[in-house]
Amino acid sequence: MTERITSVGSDYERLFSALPKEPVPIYLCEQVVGRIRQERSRVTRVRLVVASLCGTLSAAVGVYAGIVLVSAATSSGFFSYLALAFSDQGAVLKDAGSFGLSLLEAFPALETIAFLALLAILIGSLRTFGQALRFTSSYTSGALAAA
Amino acid sequence: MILIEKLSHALGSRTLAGALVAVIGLGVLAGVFELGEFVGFHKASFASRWEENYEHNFGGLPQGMATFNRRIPNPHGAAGKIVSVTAPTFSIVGDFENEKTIRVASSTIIRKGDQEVTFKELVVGESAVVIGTPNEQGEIDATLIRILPTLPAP
Repeated sequence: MTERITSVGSDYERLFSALPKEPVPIYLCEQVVGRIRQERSRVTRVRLVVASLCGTLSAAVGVYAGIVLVSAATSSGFFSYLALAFSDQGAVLKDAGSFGLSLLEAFPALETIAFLALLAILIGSLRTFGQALRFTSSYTSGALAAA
Repeated sequence: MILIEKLSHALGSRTLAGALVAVIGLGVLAGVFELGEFVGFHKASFASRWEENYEHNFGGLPQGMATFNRRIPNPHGAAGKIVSVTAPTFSIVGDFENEKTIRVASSTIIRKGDQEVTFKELVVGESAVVIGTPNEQGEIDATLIRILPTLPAP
């Protein structure tokens, strides 16, 4: 056996093809499947915990970031300039360059980036949470059916 | 990734699709960078002139001693409360409590509600939004002034 392994070197695919093909015992199959399920269940539990933690944190900080964003946009006058687009369309179109620049200058870029990043984390967490929850429910129903 | 898949299907080459997406992405990044540089340059130029002319425009602190509050003032607009009116200029304290001098010309449109009004109708304490271009004196040459309605105290 040792000779065979040495002869095939590190190429495991060749090694397995070279090994004698014997039927796998049923108890071993069940054990392997059981371990895979156990591992999947553990990973799902970890994902549920991490996703719920990240989701809760990002939602809480996201609300704060949203308040900061609105406050920054109000303080910089962004909403006031934006309102001109609706109240004084003609005059704004006449001096569209200054209007566009005033909007860009007042745009709270950092606050918007922070808010969008938190929103992305929240959406990602919810997605992971949903997937983990679906897996858990299918696994539970499968286990119940098997029982 | 989906975009690359679709593009590679259309172009018949995954490498070409990846390169195209990378070039477009770099173009967008360069555009945003250029825009930021452009806006930053205007803000910095205005801030410099605003600081140089602070004593002349607002009195108080000697040249070089004035600093803006928290953020560099926006050069193409002002929004806030009118604090003084001296024809043909008036001062606004607005974005981040920075004060700005607004110069009004005969071509400036001044609106209150749905009516056009004259410079004489600008009153201290009223709120206004101004759009214009910065001048060499650190002021804003207004093109549009919108006087906002004063809300009754709750």
